[in-house]
Amino acid sequence: MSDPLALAILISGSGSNLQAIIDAIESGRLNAEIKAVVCNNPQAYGLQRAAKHDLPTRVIDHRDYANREQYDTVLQQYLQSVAPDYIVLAGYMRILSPAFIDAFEHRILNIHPSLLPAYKGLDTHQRALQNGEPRHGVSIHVVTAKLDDGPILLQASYPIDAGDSVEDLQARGHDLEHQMYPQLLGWISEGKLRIDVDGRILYEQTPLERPLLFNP
Amino acid sequence: MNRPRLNGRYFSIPSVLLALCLSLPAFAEEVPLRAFTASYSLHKGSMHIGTAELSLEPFEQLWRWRLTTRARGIYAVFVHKKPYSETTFSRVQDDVRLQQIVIGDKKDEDKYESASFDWEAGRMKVLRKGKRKNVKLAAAVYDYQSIHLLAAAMQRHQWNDETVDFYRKGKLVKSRLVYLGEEMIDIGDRQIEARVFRQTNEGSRTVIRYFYDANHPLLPLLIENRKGDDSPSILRLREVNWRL
Repeated sequence: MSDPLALAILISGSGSNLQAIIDAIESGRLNAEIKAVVCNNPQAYGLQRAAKHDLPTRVIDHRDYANREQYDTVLQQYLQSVAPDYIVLAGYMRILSPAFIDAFEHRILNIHPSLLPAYKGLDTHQRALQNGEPRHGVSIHVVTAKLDDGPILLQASYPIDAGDSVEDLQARGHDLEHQMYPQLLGWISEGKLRIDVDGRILYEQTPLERPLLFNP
Repeated sequence: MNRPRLNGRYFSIPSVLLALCLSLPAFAEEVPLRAFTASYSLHKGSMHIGTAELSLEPFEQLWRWRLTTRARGIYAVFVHKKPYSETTFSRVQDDVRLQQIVIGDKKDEDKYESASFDWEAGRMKVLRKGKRKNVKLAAAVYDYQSIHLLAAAMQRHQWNDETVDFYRKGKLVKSRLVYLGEEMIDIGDRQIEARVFRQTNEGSRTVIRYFYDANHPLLPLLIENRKGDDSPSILRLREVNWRL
């Protein structure tokens, strides 16, 4: 068996995606090790989840820093000391500075609640409902300096039914998210999906030309 | 979250306790207030239909929010309105308490509406459409202007989802303010980092998104108001003057 994939997971809130990754590791479905859980919010429930599983946690509260650059420098230094293979954004509610993204180029993954490139940015469920979309979805992509714009690795979609609320879509999306991150990280740990240092993405040795589709 | 808060479910008790509970601090740490006047352009869909001015200023021993809106050019012919609203509030032991809400239209006296808050007695006196009524207060109350104080407190304390009593059309309804995250938005020729909130009110299809300056949590850079499938009304910051 190859070395476990070293992960640093960034959270801001409840950490349900973190929990899904923990569960996949503990059940043997994912060969990975969580080297650090980093959170900008000292009250976040995700920190309790991490503590229950004896995972190393670090709170770096953005309110303690004068500006984003200072904050991201401290975050970057800490993560460089942890040396993860990948940084996984799991409900991390802060914009990352270009310098930070550059320091971990092609090694930051984000999960976004829409079928990218549609609905970049915030409040995607509400906006999809307002526009009368028939379907919505979830995308995992590589983070680049441009918001929600990096190469899309994996997507799943679900129908929007008449009378659906934001909460309905959020619940449907979360169900998928909790399966998608472990699946994608599993493929990376097995070498099935590879992101080269130059950003080239290979799935089963073939360049990835369009996002993989997740079928639960 | 562990913090002192006001909540209606605690108030099925005598009024003396009500008054005591209403004086509990809503914010563990005070949100610093600084007077400003901000001007906005008002858009409906892609049309630039007017301007607005929002100010926060000290007023005697209190503070006051004031919003005035004006239709622009040809739209002024069709929209015979000069609406304004004022919200006066005090801060006692760091607790934000509304004192008075006044909503009106300089061209239409029938549109005059006011709500006066008596926190000792735990009631609000409302005058709307010429009718008066008393409404019982169960908890802290916000309105479309003081909601900026709640958003600032949420930013300061990293609260993500708050449901509060909200003054709307002479009634108190439940209103939910959810922190959505950070976003870069274009204001003039600059990109500014914004913290984004979504407000929804019980019994209303209107969804309001507020984009606050991350460096000035009380200053809305942009307010998007959307009702159902209609194109949104958008207030976009043009200029802000901070006062000492």
